[in-house]
Amino acid sequence: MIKVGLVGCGAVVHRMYTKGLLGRSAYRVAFVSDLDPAQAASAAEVFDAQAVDLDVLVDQADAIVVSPPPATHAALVRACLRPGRTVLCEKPYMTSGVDAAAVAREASEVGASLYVGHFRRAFPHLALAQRLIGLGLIGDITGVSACEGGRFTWRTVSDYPVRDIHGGVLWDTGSHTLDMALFASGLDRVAPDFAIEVLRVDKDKSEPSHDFLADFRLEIAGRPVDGHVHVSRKQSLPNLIEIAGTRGKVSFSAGLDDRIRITTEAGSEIVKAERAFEDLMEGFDLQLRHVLLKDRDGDFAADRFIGQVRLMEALANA
Amino acid sequence: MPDSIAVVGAAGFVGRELLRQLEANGTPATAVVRGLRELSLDGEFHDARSPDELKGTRFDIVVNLAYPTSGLPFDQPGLNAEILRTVKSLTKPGGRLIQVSTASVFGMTLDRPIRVGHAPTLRDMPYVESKIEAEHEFEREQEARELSLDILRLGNVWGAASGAWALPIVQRLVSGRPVGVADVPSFSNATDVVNVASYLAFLLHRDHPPGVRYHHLAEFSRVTWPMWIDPLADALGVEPVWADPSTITGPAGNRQEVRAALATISPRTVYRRFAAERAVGSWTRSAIRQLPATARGKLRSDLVFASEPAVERLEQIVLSIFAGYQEFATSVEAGWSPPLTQEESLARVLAWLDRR
Repeated sequence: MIKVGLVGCGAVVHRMYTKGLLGRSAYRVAFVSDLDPAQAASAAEVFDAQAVDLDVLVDQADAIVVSPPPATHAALVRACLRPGRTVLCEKPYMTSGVDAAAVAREASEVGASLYVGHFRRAFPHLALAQRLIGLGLIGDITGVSACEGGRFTWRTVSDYPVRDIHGGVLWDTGSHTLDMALFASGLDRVAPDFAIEVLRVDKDKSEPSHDFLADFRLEIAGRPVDGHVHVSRKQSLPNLIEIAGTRGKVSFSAGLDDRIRITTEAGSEIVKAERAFEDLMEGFDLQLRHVLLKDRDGDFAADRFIGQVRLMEALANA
Repeated sequence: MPDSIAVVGAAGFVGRELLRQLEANGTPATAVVRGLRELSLDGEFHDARSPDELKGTRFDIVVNLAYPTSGLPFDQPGLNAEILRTVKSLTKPGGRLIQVSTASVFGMTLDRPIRVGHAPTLRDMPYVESKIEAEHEFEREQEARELSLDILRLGNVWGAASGAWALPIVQRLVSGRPVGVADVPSFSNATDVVNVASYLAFLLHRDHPPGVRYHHLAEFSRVTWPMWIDPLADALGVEPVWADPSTITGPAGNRQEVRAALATISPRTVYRRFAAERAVGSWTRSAIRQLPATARGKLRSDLVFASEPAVERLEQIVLSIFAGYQEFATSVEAGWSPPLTQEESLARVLAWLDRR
């Protein structure tokens, strides 16, 4: 039985990890830690775990989930790295590209397995899009477009979405939305030091912003890839991801689905994944199993998220 | 001194638009919201408060847009009761209350007789029951406290950035799911959010004596779904898919729903089917609410109880709404006309899609 330690016991732990980590035969939450004793006590009760100081948790847990606000991730993940240890860092992975690359490298040097919690990668339609695009169905990637918006109803404990410069919609929802585009297009697999040119940013306010639209261009292996992102906490958006290639386009929902649309010169077709999830927690659960038991494809490995962090940093700072 | 106005549920789609229009005509209001202020409200024109901050405060006019939008199905009556308590506590004796309701008080798929007047009690989905309960509670309150009560039932509130219609239609078009049913009348029973807010603002500025008035608003009721959907499909470069008429549901009925649910027997799957059904789901939720709180808490933590209906049942219900067999005709007070025409409404939705 893998003993899991939870660093941070905020909203995501109480709303998501309770469903993904309770009642499992292969792993259980044994330790919890939070700066707020009340949050730690609440999580300890829910998981029937021990509320302990961070250093005790780091010493005794087999696997650690780091979920406090993003600005703390670099220091906390570094504190958790040990040989043979599995660490799952909630999204967004880091708030700077330098930290993203450095912490992934340090994990590798220590012999720890570092992952990032982007559970949408387990969604059936996204995995299907990634596979088909990877097979060259639409040729070389020429553009990625991603939009997602809706009323913000997530109740955080720390209010970081309105207080922290890394709590804005780009870092929050946008990290999911951009990740879907980068994962599907395979751009998360290329060397993450690609050139980024920010062409336009239109946002409702300085960070943390709540409505963020941007156009950008990536230079990958000498080829330009045009990018567009629009994310909002204030209005519903069409919630679509579109990946354009030299021979066609793949479009799909930014939400949970089992279908994608492929448009080529031959026409427009719907392709269905072999399986469908009834709710998004199935994706969350699958991600945890991948990370805690065996991530065979490396889909959640930290080095696959360095480029995404660099891109978000460039957009947020433009 | 001008009337004091509270808008309960101001952070939603209609609420935000109403506040925008009130700001544009210089009418201040207090927005009653539960979430973070800067995510609930644009700008600084209106005052935003949580229900707790307003304890003991009474307003001349209260507009209620709130209804339960979270929680498990069997929690919804309790959440609804909290909302109704808040609204009543904010309303002055002899004051005005505008309850924003829905055409769905005549059945989730509008499959019951429509009348401009008192809506009968109905076993249906939690959303429908919450809206009916609100109407009935405020009708009782009107009599007890001599309120001026307007019950405004809305058709399908669509418009630019409509999370209930524009967004799912786009998603269905892109994913090749049916956006309607072939060969049926297909009344969209639509009302644009801008027109809804305009009518609410109009009502706010009318003098109404104590009593109850019922209003039905769906200025685009006769616009069929394809008239909205085809231009969106063109803009996306996709062909709409229309479902076979056999996929849609009839009026809710206990016997057929129980029989269908029992076909997939296991405690979890039966519950999921029951909870998702419109009629028997209602009885299931009622039964669960009779359990002691400790037992309900255990059921919740055991994760046996899903909050979402089974996909195929939800799909049938959605398609039944798209079938639009019955028109929800507009019945509003004289002196108001909708600011947006059908063409303007569509143009705004297309612009929203284009700016994605």
